[in-house]
Amino acid sequence: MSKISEEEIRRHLELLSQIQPSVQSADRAIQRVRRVLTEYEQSPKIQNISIWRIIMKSPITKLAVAAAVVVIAALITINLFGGGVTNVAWAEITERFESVPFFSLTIYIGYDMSAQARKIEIWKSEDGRVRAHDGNNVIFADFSGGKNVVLAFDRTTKQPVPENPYDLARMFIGILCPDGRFSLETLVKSFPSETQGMAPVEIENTAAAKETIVFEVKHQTTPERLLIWALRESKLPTRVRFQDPRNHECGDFVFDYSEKKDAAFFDPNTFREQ
Amino acid sequence: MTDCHKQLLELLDRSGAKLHALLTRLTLREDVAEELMQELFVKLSDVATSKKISNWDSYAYRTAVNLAFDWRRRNKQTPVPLEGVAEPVSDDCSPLDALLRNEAVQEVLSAIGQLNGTAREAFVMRYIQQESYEFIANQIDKTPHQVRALCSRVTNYLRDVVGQSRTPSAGKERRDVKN
Repeated sequence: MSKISEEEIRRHLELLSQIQPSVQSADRAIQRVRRVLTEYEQSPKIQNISIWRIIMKSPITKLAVAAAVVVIAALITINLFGGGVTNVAWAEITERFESVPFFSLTIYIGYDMSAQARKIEIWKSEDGRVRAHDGNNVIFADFSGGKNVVLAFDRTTKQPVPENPYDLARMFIGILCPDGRFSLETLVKSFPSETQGMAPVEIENTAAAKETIVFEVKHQTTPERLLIWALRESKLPTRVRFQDPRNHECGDFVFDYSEKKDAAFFDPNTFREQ
Repeated sequence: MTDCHKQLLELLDRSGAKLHALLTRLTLREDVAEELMQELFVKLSDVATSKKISNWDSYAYRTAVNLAFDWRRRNKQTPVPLEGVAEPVSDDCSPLDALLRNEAVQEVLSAIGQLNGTAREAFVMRYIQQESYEFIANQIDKTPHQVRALCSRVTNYLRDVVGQSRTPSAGKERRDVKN
């Protein structure tokens, strides 16, 4: 196929440079931004800035734990708004999730069709301790025996990472584990009731269909939604997917219950001595 | 009103129309440009809480370019069908509609989208925003001569790749035009 000449390229670029959006479109765009900025200034955690967005864009170092809490908060919301037989099934799922002694959670945050995604890993121990990996940060939380300690370290230098005033993780952890156990109920009042409610999703009759339940939660005013996959037999959630079609943001939360980590894995002192 | 909020509103007043025009030129969609404008200022607002930005115009410009090309990349496999484009009021096709249907223009934009950050930024500023070399140099912290050379290399690259983009391997790799 023939290549394009430099003159043609310049002609195309000239055409592009001459584009002027309509006055109506420009006015709409500017007014919209002004409105969003004003709303954001008045209440930064509402309107178009979803809690998910705050977490995705947040510079906090302990993002992993906060992200996990969002998943759990979403699960609670489903429980609150659900109804009928499915609600019973969901109640069983949340109860079952709380009862598992340990689990790991891998989170991928990014965009549809993008090869790049932020990966966060979280592990919970049998005795209420948490370890999370987010980029070059390693976070330890200890809620055993009535403790409430969260520490973050640089993975390379093993030095503590300073506490951030916008530390959502610490705030969420305080809500999540007030009495040293992973409790879902304590988060109910803190989660904004901006969802339309839960609806079971029809799934195709595939090989795993009989073993899988899928739930959907939609946001009230935006197209954001959550999909939750769980196993019918064990009642354990296996995957949660967040989608925002407006900008193709998505987050996948994959649960695993098969690998039990050693106690040393959750010990910050051991980590620092390695 | 916080300083950050005030700065962003001033930026909107000063450069909002220009940024919106830039987003329209890069996406060829007014509706998408409006969406991305909001996304842009949400991003800037998030950044403002954690970073000290010395040149908001430059930062906003760079973020807008990234947003527009990210959008193009995400949507390249699902091009808007003709029926998905707003119907023109009259039988005359608007310049924007005409460009949206112009395959060569789309190819040029896609090729620019494959470039790395500074080269793409400088080239878009020069040829799509029609800024002077001096202005661009000041924005990207280079000399006018360096900007001129950068734009020249990008033009050569475009001449090489545009028109060949329907070959199976084209468009998958990131092009590194030396800064």
